[in-house]
Amino acid sequence: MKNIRVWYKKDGACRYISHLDVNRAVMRAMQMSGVPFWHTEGFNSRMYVSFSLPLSLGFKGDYESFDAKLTDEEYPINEIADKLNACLPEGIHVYDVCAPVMKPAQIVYALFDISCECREYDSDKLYDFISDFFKREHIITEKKTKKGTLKEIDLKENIVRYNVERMDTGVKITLVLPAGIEKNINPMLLTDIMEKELDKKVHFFITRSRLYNENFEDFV
Amino acid sequence: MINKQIEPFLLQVQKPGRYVGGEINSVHKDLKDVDVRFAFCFPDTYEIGMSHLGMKILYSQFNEVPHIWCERVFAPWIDMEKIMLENNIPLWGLESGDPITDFEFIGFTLQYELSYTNILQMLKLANIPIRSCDRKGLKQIVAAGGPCACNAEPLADFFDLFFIGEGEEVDLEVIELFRKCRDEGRSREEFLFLCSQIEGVYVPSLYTVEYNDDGTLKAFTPKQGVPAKIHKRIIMELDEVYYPDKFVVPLIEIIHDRVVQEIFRGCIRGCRFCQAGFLNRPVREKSPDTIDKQCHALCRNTGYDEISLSSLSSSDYTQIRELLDRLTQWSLKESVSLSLPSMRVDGFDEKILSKLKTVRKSGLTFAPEAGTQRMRDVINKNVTEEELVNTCSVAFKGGWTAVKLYFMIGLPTETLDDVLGIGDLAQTVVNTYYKNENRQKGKQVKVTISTSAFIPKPFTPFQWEPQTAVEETYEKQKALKNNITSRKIVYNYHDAKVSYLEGVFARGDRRLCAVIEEAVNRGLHFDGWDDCFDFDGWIQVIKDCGLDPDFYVTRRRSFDELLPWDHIDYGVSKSFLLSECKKAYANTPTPNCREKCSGCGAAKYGGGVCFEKHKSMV
Repeated sequence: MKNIRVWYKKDGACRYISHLDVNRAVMRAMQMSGVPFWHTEGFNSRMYVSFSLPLSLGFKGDYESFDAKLTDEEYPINEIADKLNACLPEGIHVYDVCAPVMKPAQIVYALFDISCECREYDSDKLYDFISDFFKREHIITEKKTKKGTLKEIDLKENIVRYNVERMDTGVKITLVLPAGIEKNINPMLLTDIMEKELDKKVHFFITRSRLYNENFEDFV
Repeated sequence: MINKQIEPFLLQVQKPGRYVGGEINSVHKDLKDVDVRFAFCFPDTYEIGMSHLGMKILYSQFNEVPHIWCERVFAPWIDMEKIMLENNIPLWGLESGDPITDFEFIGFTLQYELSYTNILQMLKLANIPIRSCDRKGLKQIVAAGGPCACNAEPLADFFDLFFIGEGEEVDLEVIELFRKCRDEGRSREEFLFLCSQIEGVYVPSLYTVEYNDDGTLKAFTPKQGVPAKIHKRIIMELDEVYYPDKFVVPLIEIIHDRVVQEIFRGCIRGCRFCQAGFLNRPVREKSPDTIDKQCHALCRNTGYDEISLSSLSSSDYTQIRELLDRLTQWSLKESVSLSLPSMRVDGFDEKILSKLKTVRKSGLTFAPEAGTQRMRDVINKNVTEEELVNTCSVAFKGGWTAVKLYFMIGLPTETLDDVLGIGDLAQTVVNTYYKNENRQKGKQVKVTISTSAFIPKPFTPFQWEPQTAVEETYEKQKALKNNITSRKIVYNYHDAKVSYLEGVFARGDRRLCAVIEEAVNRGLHFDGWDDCFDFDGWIQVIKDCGLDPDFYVTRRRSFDELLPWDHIDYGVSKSFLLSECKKAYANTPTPNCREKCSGCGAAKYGGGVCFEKHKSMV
């Protein structure tokens, strides 16, 4: 048995499907690819696959990965990407397959690039609003806990790093937020407040472009 | 391709994956190479439509032809529809993302009466005139096929043509005729007239209808040169008919998310309520060899790890054991599981069962349809309580602890005893579990019974029967519910009001076109969905159009009445249906096609079960 980590990008039509749907699409591609992936041995046998960190529906992902196991240890790893890509829908593209180094549980932060456009609002004004928004002392919102109850949190104290830039057609926000099994902050918590306060339709295009461990080293 | 107009709104709707296309095996073509664009429309949501086998077959078959580009179109759910209307975004095809407005063909499949309003709504969203008389030139040919095309009269004003019977051959013939007519510069009217000459094509505008004072049909008259009777198209050699080697694999989870493999068409049984059984006569089988190859190709090309063997009654497949043996030879190795829906109680044994649970265990569902032997004889179901008990016993021994049973209430000649018998039968199954010494220890049995209200359908022996009124159905449901005391039995039932409305359209006539149009104008659609179903609104529309819904639903038709579908021929003669109806009144069953030919008329197609060696002849 050999553990592998498959790296892929998620974009296009696949931006609009949920994590569970990505999971299914990947399992089907694995089934079709003919690569000797290991099946679980439980009551309902299925192909073993474990995603490092789920990505929300609507996000583009540049640094996504899942772990799988090969039954044949000698199987050439460099063939797997092409075989999977031939069976994946447009929008999921495998760009590397390697041996896992870190455990997914070591993921602590995620880097997001958010491009913001608003047809009804001048880009300079949008820039001013967003810059001021991030300078606030507190950004309070309610977040659903795992038990389903609502809990008030201060997003500001959870923002690890941020940067706001004025672009040609709008504004670009770069954000580092807590991610992983311990604590996970979805950037949509922030964009939702901004949109609500602006009371205008803003198109936020969110990309998760990196995952880090506690020392801000790339998750590998 | 994602429609660029819609992309900014995708995150505002439920399940945006419905609207983006981009699935594995979806077909993209260069417009330079294409001269007929076909919008294959399913008048319900993506998850429902993508589960439909007919669409998978025809989509692939059309796209095999280089100059045809067939795209899929589904009814946008109400949240998306609102956005489309507010932002003036016309309905688009999932493959190209282009509006379907100027496509040459707009094809619908008619699977369910309560999706009729969605058809009109989709045409409106596509900016296509809904009435056929308002569409001009050789484009926007709105066509339909599928089971409900057998009585398409409630939609007659909206469609240019209907395909009667099986579509694989006739659809392409019509498309080729269209290209020829366009090359020759012919008019839309000439094209439609020529279509009416093709067997299996019904052009409703070429017939005039007259009514009697009591609302029944007086005459149904073809225009000059148009055939008086439209005969269904049928494919006799199923091993040679086109079957796709790949399906579009949806990105989001759909209702039937697996490989579906047809094993035969038609049904030998002749259950008297079953429209599909009569429309698809005679039974024609695919060979195990063909099925095996097709299944294997589909699994390889889709990545699905589950196959559903589809037919009207899977255990009636003559070579079911051989087939399962062949399939399990590779399915086990490739971790593919098999499921056999539509199993009959009397066709089930341990050998079949063991094949079904080789990889994953699926649920078990049987349809005794009625609670007492007398009632089952009336509907010609031909299964006994003993057979059901034996079958459940086999299943319980095999480790199953849950069984689902389907029934109908409101069947002709039904009494309260027949209804209560459903509960008794379920209790017998529960008792069977506890009598079984090999049952799973420490586990409870769960018997789920579902009842739907019987809707008499065209081309069945019960086509003249009244449907039970809503109140009476409620009373029967209540009586049955009160009669069930065991907590191991779960009772589900369909809303009788939904069935009533289905009944209006199932045996409706052309006067209902105005009703459907008005209903859509008043915002009624997605009527099959609880979120949208508005019974009172519907009854109001029907009354405002000057019609009485009970005329269609609860009225007993006389045997000599001219029925709105009498000009269509599905191979089974009206006299046979009549004799079956009379046998039902006498509680007399009819042997199945393999036991004895009953002379229904389908032998005229010259093949299938009608020409197998029958037991009675050996």
